[in-house]
Amino acid sequence: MSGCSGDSSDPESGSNPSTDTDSASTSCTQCTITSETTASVPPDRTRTTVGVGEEVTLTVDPAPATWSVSGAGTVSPSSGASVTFRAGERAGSATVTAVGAGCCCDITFTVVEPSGIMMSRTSLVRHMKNKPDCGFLARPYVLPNSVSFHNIEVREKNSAATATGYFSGFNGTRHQPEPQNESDWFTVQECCEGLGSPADCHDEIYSGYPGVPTPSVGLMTFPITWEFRVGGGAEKAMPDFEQRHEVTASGDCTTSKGGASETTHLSDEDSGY
Amino acid sequence: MALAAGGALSPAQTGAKRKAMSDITARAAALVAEFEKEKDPEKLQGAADQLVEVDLAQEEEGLKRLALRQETLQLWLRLLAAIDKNLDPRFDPNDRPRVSVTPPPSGGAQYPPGADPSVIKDPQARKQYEAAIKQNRDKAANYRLQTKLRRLDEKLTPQVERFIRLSYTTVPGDQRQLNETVKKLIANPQRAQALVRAGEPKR
Repeated sequence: MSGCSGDSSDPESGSNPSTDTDSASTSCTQCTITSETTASVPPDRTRTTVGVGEEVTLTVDPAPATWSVSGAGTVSPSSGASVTFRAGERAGSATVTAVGAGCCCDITFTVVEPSGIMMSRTSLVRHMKNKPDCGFLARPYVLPNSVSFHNIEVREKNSAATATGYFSGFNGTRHQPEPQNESDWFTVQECCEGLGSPADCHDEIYSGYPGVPTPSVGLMTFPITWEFRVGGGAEKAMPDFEQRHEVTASGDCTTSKGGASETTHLSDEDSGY
Repeated sequence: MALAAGGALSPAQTGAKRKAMSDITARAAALVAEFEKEKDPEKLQGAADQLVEVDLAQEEEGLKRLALRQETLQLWLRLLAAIDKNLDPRFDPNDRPRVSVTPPPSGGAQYPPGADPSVIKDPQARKQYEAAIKQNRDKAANYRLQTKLRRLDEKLTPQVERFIRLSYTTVPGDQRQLNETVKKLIANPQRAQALVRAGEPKR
């Protein structure tokens, strides 16, 4: 079933006239579905673009109705005045239909997947005086920030460093210790306005120190892949990005990842996270 | 959950609906049992998804409807009891796990976070690092479990209270059955009180 066939629905209001020709009752001329996302941020809780796994409370008037969904999601329970639509685990479109009291009405949702990870620094910069090291703690935010991803889990895949110059001693260093091919799964909180949906973890983003006192030009990068899943389902990779550590001949050190970047100078005082 | 009486059903339809209801409760019971073994909170969500589909009105025979009501209540309460049993009162949501941990300095070098322990030459430092990795992984697993249990508790408690409110009348027999079942299955006194109150006559 895909919506109230034979009539044009209005996905914004979730309202349309009766098209339920099978019903014995024709007293109902129009029904209306109102929708409210369970997440309070983003603040427009009537939005019909939702994140994978996101939940929306749907209420039909007049009630009750039998509910069904076509496309990327489920509805539970399948009858009643008020039900929960749960977006599926992959991007797509989902049309939820309510049939009852001689009426049929539907509402269509667009389901979006995470588009990436943004890092937000949560600590002081880590640095040892007279050593060209640098780093910080950051909290990952799942993008985009126009929906909430609080019903997904995320993790970071293992990778190996490509290191040259000053960092050459770290070439091939793993990003996750054996035998891990990825980090653990982390839950995600409701969206923070303007930022994204924060993952329940901190990322230690740090260059390390190869043990060479005299600085020289060097670069170390890790290819970074984060994955998401919904409700214990299959994982899917988000777009790749890069973790980067760079040292200049004068010992300035810059660490960057997911849009967060910090630079220290050799003579900066000790600090840490 | 739907309690409204439906239209007249043929005997074959009635039999099919009954079977569907017993399938639903059987699946829910299996999922709660799986959670107890595996500690995967998705199992509890799956059980709840089953239980909201129980429709007492589909059971037309009074005694069987009462039995279905009792079975559904017991399953909801077992689900809530499983949440209570596994909630860690010391859990601090602000104490988040790390994606990976930084090894201790060794041999004048400081490896970046996540480096394999085998690169740490000092055995004592390596052992310390391995312990930190394990501790972080345990913390991540517990954080995930505790967060999901708290979310389920917040979401499902009102659903169970609604089931009680709509399914149990104020007659003494109903009240007695509700009280006895809650007393038997719910150890948490605050929760037990709230559940019993959900079925009490409204003033």
